[in-house]
Amino acid sequence: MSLIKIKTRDFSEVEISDDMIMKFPEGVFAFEEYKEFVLLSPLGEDKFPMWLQSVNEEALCFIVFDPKEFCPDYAVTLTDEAKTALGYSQGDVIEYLAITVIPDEYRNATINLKSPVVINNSQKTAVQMIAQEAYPIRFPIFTKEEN
Amino acid sequence: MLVVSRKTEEGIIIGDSIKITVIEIGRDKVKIGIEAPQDVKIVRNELYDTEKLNIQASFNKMPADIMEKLMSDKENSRNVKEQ
Repeated sequence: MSLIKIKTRDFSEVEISDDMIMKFPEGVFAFEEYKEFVLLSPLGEDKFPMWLQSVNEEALCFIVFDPKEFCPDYAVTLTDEAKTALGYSQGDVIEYLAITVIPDEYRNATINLKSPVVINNSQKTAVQMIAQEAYPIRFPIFTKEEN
Repeated sequence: MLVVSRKTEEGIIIGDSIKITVIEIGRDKVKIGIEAPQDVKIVRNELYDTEKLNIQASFNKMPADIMEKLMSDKENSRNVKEQ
């Protein structure tokens, strides 16, 4: 393990431990050429949202949430393609992240529950997968105020 | 939106070069076959939508303090509802 400095979109230069780097063999949809990301948690350890930052391209970054924060029984089946990309073997620890879209009006922010980023914590690999389950691609995360 | 009913093995033709055939109808799923020229890109709509959302999301910035405030608002409104 060693410390490296990376440039980030929202937090200028950040020092990370190289064992935080996750390999995305297929990138994410629309950004297939970016294969390494780190998960930054500026709000505190294990506190969402987190920032999924490309290691090699400072401009590429996604704000992500744990889908379970909004949908406690969220569960999707790993597709065979996802398992291959993750180098998945039985017993590996899998986590899911949902990418956030934040319009100018912050309160209309949505997360994509249909296409989670799947992280294999045991292998430090990740892939974005289109779930077979019927989850919305735009799930509002801030409940509308009544007034 | 044009809506047509088709049975298994029936299909529709779009323009002169795209043919869509219903291969199999399951309980909550249909299998369709598509014949189209090589230069016509065919993707599932979830993938198309996800690509567009990813591009949009990659531009979205949010200062951490605003996000934190929104999250605590949400937490508070949830607590109020539970009381």
